[in-house]
Amino acid sequence: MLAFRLGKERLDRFLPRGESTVASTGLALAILFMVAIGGSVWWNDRAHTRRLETARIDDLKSVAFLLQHSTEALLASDDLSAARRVLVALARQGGLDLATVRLQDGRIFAATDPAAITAAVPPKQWPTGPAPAMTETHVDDRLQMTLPLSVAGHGTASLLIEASTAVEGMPAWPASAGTATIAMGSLMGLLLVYRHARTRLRAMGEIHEGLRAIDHGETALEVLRISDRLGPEAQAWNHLIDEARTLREQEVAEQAHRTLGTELRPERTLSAACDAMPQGLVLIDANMGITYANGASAVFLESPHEQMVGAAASDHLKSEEVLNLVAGVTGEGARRRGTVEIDRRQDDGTVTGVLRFTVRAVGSGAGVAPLVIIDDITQQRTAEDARHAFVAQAAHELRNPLTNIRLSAETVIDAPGNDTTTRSKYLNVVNQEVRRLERVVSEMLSVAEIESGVMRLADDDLPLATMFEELCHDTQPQANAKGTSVHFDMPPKFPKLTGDRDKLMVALHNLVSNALKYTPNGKQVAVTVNVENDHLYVHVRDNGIGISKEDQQRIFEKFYRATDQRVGEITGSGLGLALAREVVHRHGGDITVESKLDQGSTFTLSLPVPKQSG
Amino acid sequence: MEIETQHQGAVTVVRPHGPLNADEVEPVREALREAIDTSLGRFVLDAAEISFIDSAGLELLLDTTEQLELRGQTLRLCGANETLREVFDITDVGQHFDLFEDSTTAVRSFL
Repeated sequence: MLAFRLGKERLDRFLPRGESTVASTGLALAILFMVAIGGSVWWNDRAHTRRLETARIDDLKSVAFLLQHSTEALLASDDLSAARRVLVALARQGGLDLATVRLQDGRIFAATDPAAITAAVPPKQWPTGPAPAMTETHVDDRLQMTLPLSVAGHGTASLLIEASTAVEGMPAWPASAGTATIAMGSLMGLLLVYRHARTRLRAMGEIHEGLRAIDHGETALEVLRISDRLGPEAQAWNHLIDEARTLREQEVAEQAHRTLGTELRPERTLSAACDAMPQGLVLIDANMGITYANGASAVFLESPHEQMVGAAASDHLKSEEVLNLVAGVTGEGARRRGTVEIDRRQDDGTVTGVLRFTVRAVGSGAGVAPLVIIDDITQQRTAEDARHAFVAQAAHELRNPLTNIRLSAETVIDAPGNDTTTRSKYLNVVNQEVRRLERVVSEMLSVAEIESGVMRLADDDLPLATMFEELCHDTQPQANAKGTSVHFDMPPKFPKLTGDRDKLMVALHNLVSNALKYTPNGKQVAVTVNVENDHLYVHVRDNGIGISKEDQQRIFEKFYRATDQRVGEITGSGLGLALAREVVHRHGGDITVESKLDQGSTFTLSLPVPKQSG
Repeated sequence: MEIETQHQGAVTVVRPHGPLNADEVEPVREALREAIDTSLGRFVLDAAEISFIDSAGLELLLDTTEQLELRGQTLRLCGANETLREVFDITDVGQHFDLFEDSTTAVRSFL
């Protein structure tokens, strides 16, 4: 068994999975077969030899008896020489090595070897002695027999014969060749059968190994699948494995469901349905008592849910306006509905939300009951406010350039025909203001795109040098108005970048414009551009009002404006930075800020530079 | 575990950084509770930086969902990576909350 296992392990290294079990069994069978053939050949040979030996002995015995009788007869008729001749002839013919006739006193008077004769002429009366018995002895491959001779008229003598009983077996090489041929033929047959049955046997082998793996604790069932091509057994096995996996997965899912899911099965009642609504519902009776309130209403009114039903409406609906509306629905000359929007305030007065209370009458006549529906419209209000602010800001930003363009155009029209100086001056102004308009419109479009979730970016070569020149030129008017200077520090060479020129210009303009906006008059703004670590960095540094740590986290949020009072005094949409960062992010870069309150801020815009070849 | 809190309009976006497992669940629970209280439930859980979630994390999500469902609101999640989405699928808890691609779409759902 050990040898079998060792052999199998050696085979495992050379054969595909499943084959080793089969191959080792096959090998064992082949060996057994060879042993069987060898064994039967040897046995046959031995049996045959035995038969030949027995036949030989029988032959020798017949010769011995023949010799006995003929010698007795010839000696009885006193024909000694004939007896001697017959002895020699028969011995030779019968294959005896030795035959002697001996008297009781030991004298030999006839023998195959004449030299052995010791009594050339036997006496008339032979010596007497004990009657010789017939004996037969086999020693090694030799037969020795003693036969009694009783000769009438003379007495008794004994005939001794000796012969070899060795026989030649079958001649060696025909037998071996025949055996070898038969053995080879059978082995070929066995191999053919093996090859034919191999796939099926392999399937069984792999299934056997799969079962052993499972017994050893293999849990990843998908590993135990075997190739379908190995036959119907393989397919059935795979089917079993797949079923086991499905059952196991179902079990896991069910268990998870049981542990995690039980709490969430809602009861199917109207009450549960109302609790599932995001709007607050409060049903009030004619005596201004609450008959029903759902979960959301408890949250909006900041009251414990379980205390609401049965309590007076005024205990929980704290707003005068709402209570008036409710009373208005039940009283004389009742209105059927009304709406009021109430700000939800924190203790310090900051507005944290806006709730819309809609009061409707349900039922009629004496059974009229006011129903209060509460909607959280904070997000809508915020979005509306922001949009209004943005539109106002945009309109403001559009009006100025338009005014300037109109004035410039009028000046050019009114100027005398040969006044080229005036014409070029004011045409330049028109050009500048048109660029400004383009920026504002681009920003508005971007906002629309962000809001709708779709921002389309162009991917063209960016003429960075030109862009920064334009930036410098376009920010001059704002800088001049404030008596602030903008200093540009450019690298000797710009890397090759691609992206959306318009949107990036808006982003850059925003940063510089902000720096100017939030810096008191007469100070300085620095724009430094450098290339480092495969990135283009644009640092916009100012020494203006700075940004507090808390605000630094939030200034990139849409519509957020820093809580600093000084910021409130400056017009702004709260969108510039959000937009700028979104655009830069989409280009694979980022905008970060470093700032100290009252000291100034540095905004850093970074864009990745693709690896240049050469 | 770092928990970023941002505001998009009137909606609070809570963004934890790291795995949501038994060790890290409590601070997130606190942050969510605060967000829910101050914003009347107008909040989004940005899962973009959550690398991995275990049963303790799932329990937190389900607790939060339960809290919100009592008042007709849903837990809004965005930015879940493939690992998280697989977990949600396998345990079948994904059906209990709203999954969004990114925070902008999640916030827009409040309008």
